[in-house]
Amino acid sequence: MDTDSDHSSTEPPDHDQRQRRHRLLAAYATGLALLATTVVVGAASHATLRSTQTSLTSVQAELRRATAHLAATRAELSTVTSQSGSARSSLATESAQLSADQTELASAEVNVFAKGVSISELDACLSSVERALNQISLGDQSGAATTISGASASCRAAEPAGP
Amino acid sequence: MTVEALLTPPARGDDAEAAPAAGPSRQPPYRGRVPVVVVVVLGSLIAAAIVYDAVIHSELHRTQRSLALAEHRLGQTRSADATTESALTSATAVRNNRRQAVAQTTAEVTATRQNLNSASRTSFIQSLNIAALHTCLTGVSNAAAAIASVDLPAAVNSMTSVSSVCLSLDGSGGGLAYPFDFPDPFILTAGSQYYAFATNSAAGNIQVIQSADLSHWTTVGDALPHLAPWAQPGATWAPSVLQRGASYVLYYSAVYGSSNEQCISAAVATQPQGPYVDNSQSPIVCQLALGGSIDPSPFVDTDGTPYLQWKSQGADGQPATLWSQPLTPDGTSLVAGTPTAMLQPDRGWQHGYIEGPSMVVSGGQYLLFYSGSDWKTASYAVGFADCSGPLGPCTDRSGQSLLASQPGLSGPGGPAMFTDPQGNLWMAFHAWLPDKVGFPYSRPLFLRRISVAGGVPQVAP
Repeated sequence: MDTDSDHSSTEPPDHDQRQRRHRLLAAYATGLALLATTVVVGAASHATLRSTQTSLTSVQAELRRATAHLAATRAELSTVTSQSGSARSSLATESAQLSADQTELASAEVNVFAKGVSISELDACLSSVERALNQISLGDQSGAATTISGASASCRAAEPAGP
Repeated sequence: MTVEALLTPPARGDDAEAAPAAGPSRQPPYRGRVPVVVVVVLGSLIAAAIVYDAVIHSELHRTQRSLALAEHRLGQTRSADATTESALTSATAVRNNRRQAVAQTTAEVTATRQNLNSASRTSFIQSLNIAALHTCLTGVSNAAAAIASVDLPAAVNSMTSVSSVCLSLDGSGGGLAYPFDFPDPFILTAGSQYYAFATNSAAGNIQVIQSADLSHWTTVGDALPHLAPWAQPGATWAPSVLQRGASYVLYYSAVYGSSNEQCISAAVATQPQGPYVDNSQSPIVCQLALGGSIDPSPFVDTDGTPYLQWKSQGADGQPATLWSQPLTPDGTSLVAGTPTAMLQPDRGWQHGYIEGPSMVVSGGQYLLFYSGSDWKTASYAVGFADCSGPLGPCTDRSGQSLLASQPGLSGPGGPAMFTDPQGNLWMAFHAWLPDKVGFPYSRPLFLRRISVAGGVPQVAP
């Protein structure tokens, strides 16, 4: 009876062993699953890391190029700004020279005009005197007098101003 | 041993004791430790994997932060680059505009300086012209005053002193040779000198000037100080000279008595420049019925026979006519007989007037040069005609004038042909200066070379 009584109060040995084996198998399976998951996650992370590192390398190279280009552009800007300043200085100089030359030219043209008027008056006076000379040569004294009288204005205008 | 056996947990002590009762089976001694080892190994692997994942994640996180930072910096750099590029574009445009403005201003400065130099040269030349005009004007005025005071030598001296200056004012274009009034010229070549004679003007009844090179002329004075007794003063026209041995015969026209018509006379001198003496009691040619005779011009044929050619003015519906008649050997009178008409106006450009004959022989061909149209106008011109001989008849086959108004001269006329010692044919003529056409404006002396090709004369520029 004791044997029967013990046997009835506890699990049978086969059943207990099976349960223990099942638990152990479940633990093994869980551990393997966990390990597999960890490995998969690690592999994925590693792939992401490699991709990110590649992107970083590319971006850093692009950054270096952009930085170099920026430096070159700034250097060129500096050069152009300097040239622009030089051109402004030259423009100021040339403009001042042009202004001075134009002033001088205007004065010279006024002088030329005035001399042109004098020449015109002198030419008219000379022409009249020559005509009067021809008339006198032919004995036309009155005609010569008329010619000279008509030329007096030109001859007076041709005379240089003075005291 | 099967897997199930490996997974089987180890038996308790009573199991081992009971085993012999169940049979002769034996359990391996490590059977109970295998699960533990498996758990430990599995746990270690998991732990290692987790650590590795953590490291990878950490590195990934750090790399991602670096990437983000680098991308941020790249963005900033690109933005700065774009801004700088924009500034560079703007600065370049400003620089280019300024450079363009500099170039334009420099070009303006250059042009202005050229204009200034031109104005300065013009002013300088004007100063010379003004000085020359003053000098010329003074000389001409003094000459006029001297003539008015009947001081002919003083007038001649005054004009001689300013001749070159006055000539420089009118320039040498067109062959201008003498700047004062010198109408109806005639050139006599005597030795190494040229003597030019012209209608009365400031220098006297018959003006005479002298040159050794046809370029520089000196006023000699009056070649005919006293007119023939029958001639009236004030209109002694178109002189010409013929050398006869050691003597020179001057032909000229003057008003015959009170007729108011011109007739032709001859005066004699022993020197080419005169003074010529004319004691004739009557003219040698006087066609009063034809309106008078003017423009005498001697011609010596190839056989040595001298001829005198002239113009009758035309009257009572008769046209102006050019005549020719032989001269006596001494040239002072015409051979008895009647003159022969050589040419009458028959061309449109002549407007009914021809005068001033001057004949030459070129290549065996008789060429008669003459003036046509109204002498007081710019339409006055020089033409030529072919003649059968020294007495004509002559025909103007060209249908147009040989020399007409052109830049530098207006209304050329009064041609007188002569040959220089080198055999070159020349034409002396007078012309008005442009814009000074009509008496009492002056008709200065011009000289041009003449070439004849195929019987057609050409006037050199």
